[in-house]
Amino acid sequence: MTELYTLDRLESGNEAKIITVLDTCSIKNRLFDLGFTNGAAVRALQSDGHGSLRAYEICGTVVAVRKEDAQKVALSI
Amino acid sequence: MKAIKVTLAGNPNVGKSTVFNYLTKMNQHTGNWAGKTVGCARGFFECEMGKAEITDIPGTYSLYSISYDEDVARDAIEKGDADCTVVVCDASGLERNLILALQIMSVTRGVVVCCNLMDEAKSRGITVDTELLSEKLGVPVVGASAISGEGMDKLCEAMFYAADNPSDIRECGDKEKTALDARTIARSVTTFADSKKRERERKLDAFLTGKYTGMLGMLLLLFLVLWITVFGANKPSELLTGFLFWVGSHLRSALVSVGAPEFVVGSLVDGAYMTTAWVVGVMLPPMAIFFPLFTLLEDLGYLPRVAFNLDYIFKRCGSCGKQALTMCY
Repeated sequence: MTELYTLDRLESGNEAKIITVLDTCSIKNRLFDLGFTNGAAVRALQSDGHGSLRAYEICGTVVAVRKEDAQKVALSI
Repeated sequence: MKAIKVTLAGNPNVGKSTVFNYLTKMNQHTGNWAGKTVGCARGFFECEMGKAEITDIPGTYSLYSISYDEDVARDAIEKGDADCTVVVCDASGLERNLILALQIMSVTRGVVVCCNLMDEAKSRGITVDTELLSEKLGVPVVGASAISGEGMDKLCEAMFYAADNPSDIRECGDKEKTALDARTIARSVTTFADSKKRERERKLDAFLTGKYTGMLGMLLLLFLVLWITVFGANKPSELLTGFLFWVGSHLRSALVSVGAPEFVVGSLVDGAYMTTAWVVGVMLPPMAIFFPLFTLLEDLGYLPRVAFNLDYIFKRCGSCGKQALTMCY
């Protein structure tokens, strides 16, 4: 099984397209409402320095997502 | 005179309360962080077209609610008897804002879209074609900057127009479809230009939330705020207590001169009055300095950065960084 390319692995400063938020994500609905939808472009910004939280630019706004949640967001390569 | 009912809906932190305050001349607390309004606020305003009762509801990202304040919002939109629902949008983030607008249009009639923060968006190189947006959505769209009152007259007009000629229910399909529609529409009406301001914002953010600089900045600011509070309050505190004690001594002699018994003077002046005077004299000046300073930080948008910096600590106790702000209050 190939590993999924997920949001937490997107390098800071880079941009990618979202495929979907996995069902196992506890804040799936929230992320969806914030614009983490199929086809949306997301850019990774700075991390909080402890690796537990990172800011992302999506839909013209900056939102912070924790690592364990970012691991549940699938990106297209 | 005609009277209509209007509901103000929208994503968190798009300036709903600012629109509300401008129209009603009321003074709802506004703040630059998501979730400032948790209950519904009600107010009235009048313009040439008639009277309106306007309800400001908590910001919500979606009608499929997950938190209490979003429940409040959904109920107000779906079960309310408003003649017109104004969806306030942030012009800088139309793609996300339109998801809610489309959802609302699928459950209620008489929708008006208010594209707020237009000048803020403009300064960041983002322009929105409101006419084209109105065409695509099939509802009136008003561009506005509520803080300066720009576009508010047009918004009033649009509200009364929408109450008389309500737009039809627009099927929005499932969530995925709605999101896709929102993106397609937002992209077609928005133009982005390079902006130095966005670049600056990003650099500032990187500093304020940097691994070391973030913490350092936070501690420095905390120290500065406390220092200003403590030292700034010294003199006013002294003057205030002096004044209150002076009033107290006169109060005492007045009571004594009318022949009040010792225990009355003791309990009223030494007990009730002096205690209150002490508390007010010592507490009021620092509070009168601290809270405005805190409000300033809030309006600058610094608080979400604090939440970001502190999240990893709060996460350990099963909470989140936003909790830090509640603890400040």
